Amino acid sequence: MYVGKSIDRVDGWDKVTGKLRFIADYRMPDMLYGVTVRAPVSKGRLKSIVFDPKYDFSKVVIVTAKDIPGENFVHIIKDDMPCLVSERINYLGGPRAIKTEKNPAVAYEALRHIKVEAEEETPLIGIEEIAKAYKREPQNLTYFYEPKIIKGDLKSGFDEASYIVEAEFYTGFQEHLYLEPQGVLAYKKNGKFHIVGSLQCPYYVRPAVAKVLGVKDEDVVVVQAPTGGAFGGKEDYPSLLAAHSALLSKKTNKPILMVYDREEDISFTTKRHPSYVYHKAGVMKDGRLVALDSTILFDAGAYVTLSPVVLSRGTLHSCSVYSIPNVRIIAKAVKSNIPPPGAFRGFGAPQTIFAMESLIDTIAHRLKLNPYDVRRKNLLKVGSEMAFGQVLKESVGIDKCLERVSAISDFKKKYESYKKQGKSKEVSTLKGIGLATVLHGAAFTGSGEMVLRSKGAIRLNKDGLVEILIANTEMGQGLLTTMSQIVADKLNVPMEMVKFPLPDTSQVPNSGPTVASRTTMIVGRILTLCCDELVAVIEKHYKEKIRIDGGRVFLTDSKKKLGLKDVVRDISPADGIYIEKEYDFPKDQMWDEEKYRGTAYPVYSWGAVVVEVEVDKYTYNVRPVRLYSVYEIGKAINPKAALGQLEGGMIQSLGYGLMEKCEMKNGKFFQNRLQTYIIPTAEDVPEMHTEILEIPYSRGPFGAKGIGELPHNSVAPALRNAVLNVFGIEINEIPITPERIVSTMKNRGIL
Amino acid sequence: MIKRRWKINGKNTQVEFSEEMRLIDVLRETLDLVGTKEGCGEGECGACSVIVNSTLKLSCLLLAATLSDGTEILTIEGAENTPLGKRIQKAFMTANAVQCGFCTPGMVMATYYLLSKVKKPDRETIKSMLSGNLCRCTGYKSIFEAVEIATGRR
Amino acid sequence: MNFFSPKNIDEFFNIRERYPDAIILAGGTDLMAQWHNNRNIPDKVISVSGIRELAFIKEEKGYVEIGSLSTHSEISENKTVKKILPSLSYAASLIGAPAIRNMGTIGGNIANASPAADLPPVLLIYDASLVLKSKNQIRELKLYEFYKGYKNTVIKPDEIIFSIRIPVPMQVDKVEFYKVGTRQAQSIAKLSLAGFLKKEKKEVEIVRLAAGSVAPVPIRLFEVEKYITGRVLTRSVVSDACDILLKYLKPISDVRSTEEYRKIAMKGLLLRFLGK
Repeated sequence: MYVGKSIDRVDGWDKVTGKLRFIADYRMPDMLYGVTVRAPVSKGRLKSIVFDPKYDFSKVVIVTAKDIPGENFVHIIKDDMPCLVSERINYLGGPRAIKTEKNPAVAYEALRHIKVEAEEETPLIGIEEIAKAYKREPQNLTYFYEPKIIKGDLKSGFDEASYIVEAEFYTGFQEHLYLEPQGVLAYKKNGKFHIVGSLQCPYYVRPAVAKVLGVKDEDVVVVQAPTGGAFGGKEDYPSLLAAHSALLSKKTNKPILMVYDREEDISFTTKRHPSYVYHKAGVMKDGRLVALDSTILFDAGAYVTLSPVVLSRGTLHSCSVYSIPNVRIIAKAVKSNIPPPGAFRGFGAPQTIFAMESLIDTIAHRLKLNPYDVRRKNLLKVGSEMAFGQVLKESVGIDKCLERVSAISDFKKKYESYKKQGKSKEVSTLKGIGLATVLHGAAFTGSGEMVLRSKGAIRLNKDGLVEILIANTEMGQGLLTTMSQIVADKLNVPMEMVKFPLPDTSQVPNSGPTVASRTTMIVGRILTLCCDELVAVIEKHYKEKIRIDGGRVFLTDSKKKLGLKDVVRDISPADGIYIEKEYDFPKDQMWDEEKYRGTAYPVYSWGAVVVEVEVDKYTYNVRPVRLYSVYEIGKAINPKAALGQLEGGMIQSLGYGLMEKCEMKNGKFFQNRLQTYIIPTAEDVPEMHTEILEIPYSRGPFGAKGIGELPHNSVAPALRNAVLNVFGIEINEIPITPERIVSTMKNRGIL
Repeated sequence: MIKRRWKINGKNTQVEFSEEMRLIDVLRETLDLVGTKEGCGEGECGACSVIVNSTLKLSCLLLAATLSDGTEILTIEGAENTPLGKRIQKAFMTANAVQCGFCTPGMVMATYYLLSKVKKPDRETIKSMLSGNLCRCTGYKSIFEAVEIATGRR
Repeated sequence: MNFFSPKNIDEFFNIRERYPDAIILAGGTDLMAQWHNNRNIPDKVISVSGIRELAFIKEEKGYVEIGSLSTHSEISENKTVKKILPSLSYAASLIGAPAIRNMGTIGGNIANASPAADLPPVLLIYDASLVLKSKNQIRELKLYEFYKGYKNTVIKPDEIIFSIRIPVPMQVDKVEFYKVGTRQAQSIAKLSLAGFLKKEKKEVEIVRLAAGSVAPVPIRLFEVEKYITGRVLTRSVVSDACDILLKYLKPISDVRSTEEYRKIAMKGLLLRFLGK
């Protein structure tokens, strides 16, 4: 009925008419605004905060670490990141104090009269510095996480190989650049602290705020406000911002709204982890990989936060879509003196897949093979064993994706012909074509989902409507609509009878965070289990099999017809029928964290992209003109919404690969305004041709797998490979700006 | 304090505001017309786009005091009540050109401006006229298709 | 903040006389962003948007004259400008994005004196002059005489840019403007080149070249012009011209680009302009 159809978004009309309020649009009586005072150095010891005696500070209220009643930590994985710096400063901008006023301009003015004094020490900053330090003296670095993968016999693999190909790859920071800046509103009501915010994970924020305030989890109520984009940037950071707002609200006894302005948001919130990947590959004449020895370093910043899981996913995706018999991967999350990077669509995979997909084209280039053929020789398939021991059981569409994308883009022929294009005086643009094949494992890594024990619920309420009660958040990906489609189809009721209120921790169970492309596949499944259980409960009550149709229940034996309202009245008139289920983690898919082996992800989604570029011979400006892609995602619950995710993710990956320069100078982000942090505009997008293939996953709702992050693994390496096709030059760092092309050519003596 | 009489979304409105307020501040704080969004405050994202005297402008860069009495302003709240605005909004729904929704008000206003100048713009013109409105979610393709649906080209 | 909005130019001069340190606000596309980023607003602001006598575009007596309050949209869409000064229309169409072009003015683009401004290189090769007015005086000077140094001009505190006057160009072989931005649209120029070329048979008779974002101010490339005037544009002449260019250009590395790239790309743009 609904699944598989491009139903209009249920929240769409309020968005196109501007009626939907985001957190900065919330108003409460007596509301005050909060702003943050920050540490001025990257590493050091806090000496004091100096308040300008000439400024009238009676207009503002200040909160410092001394005001924290609970623990001065923001709980993410480990309790090591302070909410407010009290003594040691470990990154520039570490929040030191927060203050409030009625008019944000006054609060910002007061900021100018406060000085933070600190004793400076020498910081470790930059992925190049980290790579150098690792090669020189690895024992002097601090590692937050050090996974290792070993498969087969590396030495015999290299012995067998005809060629050895070595390369180093670097990827930089990336800023999420959600259009809506971070914001949280905090207020006290009936003895509880209420947090409303632009956030992805209400159940992350609740315990974090409770810990800082020194209260029980149940005394903090977190509600998601409509969220204007997140991409991972609002997974953990809002816990810190919410704690700040809550502290101010506690001290002033008033509602506090804190909304970052763009420069502050870019400067101090989380970014994608910069990475260094070293690959040494043993290759046969026909392009078959027989050995791979890799080192992966991620810049984890000052505190642990999410880095272990980001590195883990990056490591587990680092062989991309290839089956390699002999593998050794050593990975480290390295501590440094920068604001901790965090979650960002792809979560480690864009970095390592960039390295592997680039390596494949480097191999093709050096061995004079076609990149399509090299990929074909190494593709994973059902039955393949991945480097960490997982055997692929079902739903592997990569070969079909690769074949199809090559056909619609005419890749093989164009690659060869562009390779031969001379430096003719007549032509002012050079053409290139690049290919990348990608995968993404949806859901939490390894035992994550088993540990999470996510619970979701539905309630058939007194009005005969079905409420979806989960903590997952709509941030543009369309889950308000797709979850409703799933429930409507499972119960066979019209969508108008399905309601999905904004997640509120006092009203819904913890279905886990909205991350890791897990919502459709895991939480969608939980909802289908709830639906089945609801039917079972009704059948048990009436002691007959039932059929639901058009919003009514048909008792199949007695041939009676009942409205859903009647059923509720018969079974549970006071509270409606509430069904809660926990995710049924498949016991045959275990992951051993100690050995770092086993089933890393329940299933993978797959994709292949081809990008065609035109390069200006005079300015080295790279312009993507056509982008072909084929993605295999199990089942598109809502095809238009799925295409929206795929297209949006690909353009983000395009920005990552081509123009989103995000440098640090003296511990501060240099491109920290929209004028200088460059993301694609409407004029930067190529013509896009996107196709969806479906190989249903047996445990996914209607066969669906995860898709949110998959497209962000794809375009950056395809662009890099297209540039290789144009110039015959291996550029192993992104973004590939004209400046980087020129500097690489100069360094290699070509220019 | 400055006093002005503007026509906002077709209604004659008296406003009073202080000298340093931008148009976006008057709309959002004084008039509670919060449909117009602030994404950057420096004119780079287009989320604050409004139509002033039939011309697309960025309300975060307009000092409110520079708008004289009689200025006509159309915001997203008013677009729904115009035939062109409503047609555009319906097209955005059909094309799934809305994801998180934050850029959408500005995008709708920019489209309104485009279509009031050019009846059936081609794809190049659409891209060019929307180049001042950043979107991080959609990849823009569905937005181009929405505009083409609104003009009957699709 | 004290806010003034004069309705005519005389009113403006009177206010200016009383408050010589007041900031002049036209379209606001540069100033409002600056004030937001610095979280600081000036004490006194004079908005000139109400002085409608500054908003005009006309052709008369062999000159095109553009009032300083003309917006980039008006300039890029104006039929006279499109016909007579096509590169100026083109350059104006590349500034920012549609809404920015509706608000920004040619006067602001010149007075703000950013080395990355898009119009000055084109105005320079069209041999533009500025008309500066004060209460009791009018003076006209060439645009290349207007810039003193980085964000610094010769305008006096009691003066306002009244208009820009451009002689209607005679027959030309080539007038072009190239802008290299950080992306396809809405970007500040990393570098730009404007060129005006007239040949007599095969030799260069008149050439004017101007560049943006490669010096503290928008500049005419007089040395290069001098070298190629009177010469046939052979490969070696063009190559020598590039060497001269690189010798006296001193671009910098900044948040947008590098010195190394600007040099190479500048050479590329010059090659593109002087090539067939």
